[in-house]
Amino acid sequence: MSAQLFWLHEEVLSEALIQTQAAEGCRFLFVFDTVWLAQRPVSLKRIQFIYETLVALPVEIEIVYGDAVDVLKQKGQEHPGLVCQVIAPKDPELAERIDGIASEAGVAVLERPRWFAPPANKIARFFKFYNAVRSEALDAARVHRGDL
Amino acid sequence: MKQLPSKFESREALTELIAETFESVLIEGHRQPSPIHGQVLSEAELADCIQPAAYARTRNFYDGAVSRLSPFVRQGIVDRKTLASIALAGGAKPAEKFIQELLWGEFWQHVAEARPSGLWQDAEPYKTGFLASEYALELPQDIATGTTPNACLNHFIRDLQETGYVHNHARMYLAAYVVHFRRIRWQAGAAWFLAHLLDGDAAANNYSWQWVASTFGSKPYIFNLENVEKYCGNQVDCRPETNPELDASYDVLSARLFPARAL
Repeated sequence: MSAQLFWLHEEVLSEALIQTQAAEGCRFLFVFDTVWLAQRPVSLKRIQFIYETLVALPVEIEIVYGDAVDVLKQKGQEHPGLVCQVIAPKDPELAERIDGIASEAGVAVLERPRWFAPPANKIARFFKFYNAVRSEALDAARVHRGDL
Repeated sequence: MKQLPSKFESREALTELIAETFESVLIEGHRQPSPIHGQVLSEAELADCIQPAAYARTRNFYDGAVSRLSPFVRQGIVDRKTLASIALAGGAKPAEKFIQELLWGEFWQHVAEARPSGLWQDAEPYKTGFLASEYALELPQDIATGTTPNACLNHFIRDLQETGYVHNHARMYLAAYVVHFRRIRWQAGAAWFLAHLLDGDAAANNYSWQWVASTFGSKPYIFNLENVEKYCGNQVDCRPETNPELDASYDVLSARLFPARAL
């Protein structure tokens, strides 16, 4: 089922993603989540960088400041049956926060797109990791360019 | 809960709104925006930022040909695969080092997914001869305000606090100074960086701090003034008289910073 509302967060301000979703008639919401900001305090510079990007994106995005649980729950109450989706973030702590919000507010969490499949085993040293993924990473980048 | 506007008369108007609305959650001080603007970048604009061959030769220099696109990657405005694909347009060989550095970001992500507890906990003991309990918990005021005894480090701290961007080599110098010269836990420095950096990514940031600290690596990373002079000397004050804590050989510094390890 495609989303009617796409919840953006600080890791997914991608024009390509947004245009794909917008083509399907999706609306967009960004929440400056006060709970997350209290957990991971940032400078004005960081907030401004995110905000400037939001207003530069080529679609209308509803921007809200508040507890994201309250914001998302309110959206659900205002629009019963609303399908809302969010992409899982990379940051493990933000992912935990978003999982919590999603389960409270009935939001579907989508897997994040990856450059390549990560190695199955834990690798703790860079060059071992590099040698394990280099070929697949280069192939994926070439496909992205249309070389293959 | 407050609805926020999406149109502003000026950049200053946006800054004012943020300062007022976010007052209770912003870190103290530094209420100026970065000279780096949040924006959407076209593929041509991205390509202009990427010079793979020059990057391979000069990336460790303060004025080297680095892309400075990390804030845009952090916010998902562009992904690393797209940057790799742009770099490959000039051939695989010249792009190799640039792509290798992109894969460092993926590596830190892999590590953080495997050990999320390592974002804030020591992955291993320090290899410095000191116990974790011998490191201070808080960042001292002179570091937080960029008034250390060392001019070059104060320059890098100003970069951090005024622009939200610091060259990678300078990040390593600052991390080594905080952890080894001042014996402060890496967690205090990592939180300081995360709060200011536009590209502040917990996986890359925190595990890099752990690597410098030696809690995720085999030995502590240190530097001396000669190294800073080599890579930053044409941009930053590297005079011995204005950088007194750093002006020594590696042997002298190792013995001073890690006396128990040298025994």
